[in-house]
Amino acid sequence: MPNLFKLLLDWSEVWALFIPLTVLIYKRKIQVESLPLMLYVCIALLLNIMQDYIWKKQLLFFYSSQPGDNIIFYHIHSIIRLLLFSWFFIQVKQPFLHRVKKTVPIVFIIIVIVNYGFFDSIFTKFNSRMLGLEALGILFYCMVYFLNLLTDEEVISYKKNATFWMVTGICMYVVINFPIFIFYERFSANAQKFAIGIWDIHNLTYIMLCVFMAKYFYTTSYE
Amino acid sequence: MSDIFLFVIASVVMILLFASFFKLLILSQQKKINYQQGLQQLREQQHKQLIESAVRSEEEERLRIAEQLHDEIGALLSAAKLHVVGIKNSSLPANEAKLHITAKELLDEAIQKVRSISHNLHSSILTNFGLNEAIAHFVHTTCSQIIETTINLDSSYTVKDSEGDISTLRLVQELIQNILKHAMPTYLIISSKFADNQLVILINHDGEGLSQQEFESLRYKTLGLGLRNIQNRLILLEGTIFFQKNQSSFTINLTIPKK
Repeated sequence: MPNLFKLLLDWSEVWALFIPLTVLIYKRKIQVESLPLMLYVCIALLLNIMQDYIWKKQLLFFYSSQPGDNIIFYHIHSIIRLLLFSWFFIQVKQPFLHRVKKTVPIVFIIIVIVNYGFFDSIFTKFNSRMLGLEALGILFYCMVYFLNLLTDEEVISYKKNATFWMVTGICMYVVINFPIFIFYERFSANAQKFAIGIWDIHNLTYIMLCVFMAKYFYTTSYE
Repeated sequence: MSDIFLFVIASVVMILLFASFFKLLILSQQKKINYQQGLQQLREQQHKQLIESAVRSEEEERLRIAEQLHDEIGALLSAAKLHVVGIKNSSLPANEAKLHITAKELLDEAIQKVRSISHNLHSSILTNFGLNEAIAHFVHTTCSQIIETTINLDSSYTVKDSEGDISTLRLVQELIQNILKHAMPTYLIISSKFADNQLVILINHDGEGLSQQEFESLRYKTLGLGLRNIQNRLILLEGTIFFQKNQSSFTINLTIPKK
């Protein structure tokens, strides 16, 4: 039983994405605002299948320094996630800090190019700085959204507001994973067992994120 | 170990900050909801006060007109009748005698109509004998000559609520007048039941009535005063009305809470 649980957890980054994907396929009627998240689900599924398969099968590619090296997929996933989530947040009809929201992905891309071009390798080491920066960027978007809700006079209906569910899910994911991303590089070098343990926490929060995403797709189909 | 400790502290701080922020958000939303509910209650209160003053003005005006009709026009007509009756018919030529009889009949009819209009405008029966008697009197004078009527009112209703009773009577009058005008029934049954501080009045007829759906669509579309009056009085009484279509008849269910 513990082996089955561990196996499920190890592959959770793959099967969890089928939860929102099932809702997407079942509901079919999806709004334009959901496009960034739809794309994220599809791209993330492909990336996660590749990263988990390479790790499980210990495959060796041209970029790999050792068998099972799948770090590049995590980095690409992080970049894609920030870009698509930025698109999602920019589409949310809130005038508060709208220009700043549009600037964040541009600044992030510049930092990515400079960092991976001159400082770190995108292929080999888990880059805590970049993933932490990505989490910070997404957290900024979430805080702007919630601050706008606080200051807005309009009352939102939690049950019917799909965006609220999605932003809450994203916020919970980044809040819990921000310290994990920041410290993971050090733990993977000095305390590998602990690193594996905290990555299991990441996987659990990823399942939770996918559930919130499914809720978002389900609610938007009725709007 | 220090890294693990730092990690744990950082995680706990992040989670606590998020939880506090989320709680603040929920509380602010709750505050907004309470504020909007308070505003809505004030609006409803104001609307009710406006209706109350409109209805009160209407009743005062009705009373004034009823008294003037009865005291002035009624008195004038009665005095005119006395003078006409004072003329001896036998002393008149044949054609003038006919006119004299017609004049007396017209005066009698005018006096009756003035009395009837005066009573309809302001029923002293309501003040002196209560709602049941007022309804029964109205039905008897308006409908019993035209269609078959049955009155079965709950005698346990003895609540003294003059303003509420006036509005209830007006509601019943308005509904019955609408039924007679539009539905063309052959019978009318008015019954009431008073229990659990609620007065339920049922008006059943076999004419062309309204279903609840039709009433709902009419109440917001039509400009007619009748339905508007019914709505205003219902708001005032905090009552409800329900139109039911049965197999061969229609029933109007009026439920009015009585304190």
